[in-house]
Amino acid sequence: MQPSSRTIELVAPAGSLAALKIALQAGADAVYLGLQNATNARNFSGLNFSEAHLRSGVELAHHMGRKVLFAINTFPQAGRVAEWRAAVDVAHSLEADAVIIADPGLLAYARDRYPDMRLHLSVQSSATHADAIEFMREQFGIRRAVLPRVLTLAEIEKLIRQTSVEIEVFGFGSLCVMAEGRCLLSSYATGESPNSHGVCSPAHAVRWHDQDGHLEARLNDILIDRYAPGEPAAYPTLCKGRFAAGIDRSTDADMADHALEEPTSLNALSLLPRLLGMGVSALKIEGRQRSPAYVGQVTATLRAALDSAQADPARFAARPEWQFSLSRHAEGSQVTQGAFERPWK
Amino acid sequence: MFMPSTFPSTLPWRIAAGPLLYYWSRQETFDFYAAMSCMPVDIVYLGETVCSRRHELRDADWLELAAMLRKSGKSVVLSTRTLIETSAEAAAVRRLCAQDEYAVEAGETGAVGLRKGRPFVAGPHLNVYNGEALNWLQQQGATRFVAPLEMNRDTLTQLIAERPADMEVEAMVWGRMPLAFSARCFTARHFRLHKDDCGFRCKEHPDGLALRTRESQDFLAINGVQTQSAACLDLLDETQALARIGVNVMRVSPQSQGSFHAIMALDALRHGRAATPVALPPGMGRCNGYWHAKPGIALVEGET
Amino acid sequence: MKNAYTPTQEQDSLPGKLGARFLTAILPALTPGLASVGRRLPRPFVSAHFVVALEGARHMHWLVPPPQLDGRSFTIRIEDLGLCVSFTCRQGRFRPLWNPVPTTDLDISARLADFASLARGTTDADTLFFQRRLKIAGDIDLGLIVKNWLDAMERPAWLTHTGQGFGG
Repeated sequence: MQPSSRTIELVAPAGSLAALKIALQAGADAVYLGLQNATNARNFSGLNFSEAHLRSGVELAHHMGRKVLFAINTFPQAGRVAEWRAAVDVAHSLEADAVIIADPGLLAYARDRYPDMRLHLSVQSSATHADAIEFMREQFGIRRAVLPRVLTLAEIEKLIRQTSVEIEVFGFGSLCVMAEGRCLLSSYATGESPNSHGVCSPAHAVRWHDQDGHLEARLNDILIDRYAPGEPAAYPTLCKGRFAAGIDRSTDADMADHALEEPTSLNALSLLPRLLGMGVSALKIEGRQRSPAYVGQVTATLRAALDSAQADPARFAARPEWQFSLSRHAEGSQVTQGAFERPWK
Repeated sequence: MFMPSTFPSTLPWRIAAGPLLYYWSRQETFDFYAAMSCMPVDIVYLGETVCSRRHELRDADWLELAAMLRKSGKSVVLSTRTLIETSAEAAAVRRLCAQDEYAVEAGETGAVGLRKGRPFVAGPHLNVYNGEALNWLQQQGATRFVAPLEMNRDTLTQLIAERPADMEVEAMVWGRMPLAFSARCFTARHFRLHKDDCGFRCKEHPDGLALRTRESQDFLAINGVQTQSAACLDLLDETQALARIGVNVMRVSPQSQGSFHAIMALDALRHGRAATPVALPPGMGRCNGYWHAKPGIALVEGET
Repeated sequence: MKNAYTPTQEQDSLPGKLGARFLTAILPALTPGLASVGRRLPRPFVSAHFVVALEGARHMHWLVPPPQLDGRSFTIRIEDLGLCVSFTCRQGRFRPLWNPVPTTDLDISARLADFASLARGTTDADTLFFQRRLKIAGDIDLGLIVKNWLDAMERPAWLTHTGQGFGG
């Protein structure tokens, strides 16, 4: 059997220097990370990198021949654009291999100030078709676009044929059912959104209440869900809550269901040969907010699977131990191929 | 192109009707826009921006409405879809952006590029949060932008201060707020139907289908692939403040009831008269939290 | 690169070894007995001993609390042992709560095995949470700070390499 001439870059999340080290040890080709502020979409308390840690992280990655991608992927807020520009400056001075940006104003700054800097279009910019991606290439010279988790494999394949920009897709992690960068649910309930604050359902607005095993999740006092004893829990994000519809309000407590999305994780393990075949350039693992244990185990599993798929795509089979290793980390303990296969169509 | 010649420049703002976000029957839609032609509205956005499967009105029908509204003195803008998922949808955006008969509202980045420097309105989901992004949009041909829904008074004031000269500002002031877009159809999912065989059940919900928490708190509304606020945004009390910071156009997003009331209230207010009362669809609450730097769902009353 | 978040390598220190042995070998064997004893022990008594361990770890530079923990109170419940400890963090040092308040700023419960795998860094806190094995109440932002602080910490080798068969 022929090994595939194509390769896919495995891009792992790093919320800390410890996670970055584990990701590299586990075989990530690149890690993506952010600063400790609102310039990136995982602006969580105690997460992300100080400049000192960034420096040692980049040094280590480069020493190992790997890449570091800086996520500066929220939208610069009027009057505070300097914070986002400073993040681009830091990325450049630390010799980041690329910056991941969503805002056209910030892309223009990066292009003009650092013409040699490699620009990736963030998933937050919600560019889902060739016209949008090619336009951003003409405007800013973007080299790669990260696709929102809304496209089928067939559409991704068509898109790749229509653009010279590298395409990166999500391969594993918690699933955003909404198009990234086009979701204000969090700020509707809490005042803070991924676009403006780099957070979804911020922790300070979350309250968990456990009574006799019944677990309530509230966001700014709004009841997002109530879990029965032993029932798997999920992140308290609005889209994963249980809600009721219809005329009869008296049965809301019992009739509520996952009106938007059941808590699920994306898992593209079995699709790797197809992603390779269609020319996807990079596979991204979601989860900068997760611990090094998650990063290490998920990265190692996808590394092994990718190596196997690249060595012999025709005979690739997702091994049970890989699936087990991934599924134990899945939110809601469910695994889906998401929009790639559109099971809901 | 965007300003009807009859518009008296002394009024503090123009009134716009945003694109119809719901799936109404052909007759209801035609009736609605026939009434709209008699309303004191200056700008009407037309087109199906939410779901490409909806087909009560074909392109020719929308163009017929556009011609009728233009004849009534309205400035007509054709809106492109917000989330492009298929090549067919991308092709529709290409067609719409290629025409120059009517102005265009760009719903996403692809449409911005497809205007190739010709004028357009930057829609509310383009995520314009800073002056640099506005500068770039103006270079692409944008003459007006619709502010992101989640901006508050201070951030919008700052954004307007940073905007390039000649860039007009539009803000949504009334209607259920479109908060999120998905590849999945939540209405079909609610009825346990597949998206490609959905039976067009969204037609049964002229204002979307409201979602409540398990404690019966009104929360969201589902409208096909779009998720909206259950509460109706109501910034009618804030229009003078909006105008003061530089908002030129106030947008009413169509609902099954109350849209014309809201337009008439906006017209009364811009003529210095008291706002006429607005009747909401039954059971629908109000919100204005974003403007007051609170969660969008919040309602702040009696304060300006 | 050395700083507050990067502990020095103290693999071979005696307290480290003893602590590891205690956590990974002795405690599980005693678990059934301890559970009945644990429930009868007064909370301040247990807390004092727990805080001695935390302070030990702090002295070894394994656990240097970030400034956001200062002045905040914590409760840790080890469900299968029936143990409950409450403590605060003041000026970068852990202190037992002698007169436990009914609610602390943050309240975390899990079984011993799950706490141990978190301490070893072999399990992801979110994974345990999704599976309802880790419970958290109170100030969730504070919880996130604690979680991310522990995640960012690089474990001494003895901690990750011992007791692999335990829990998980």
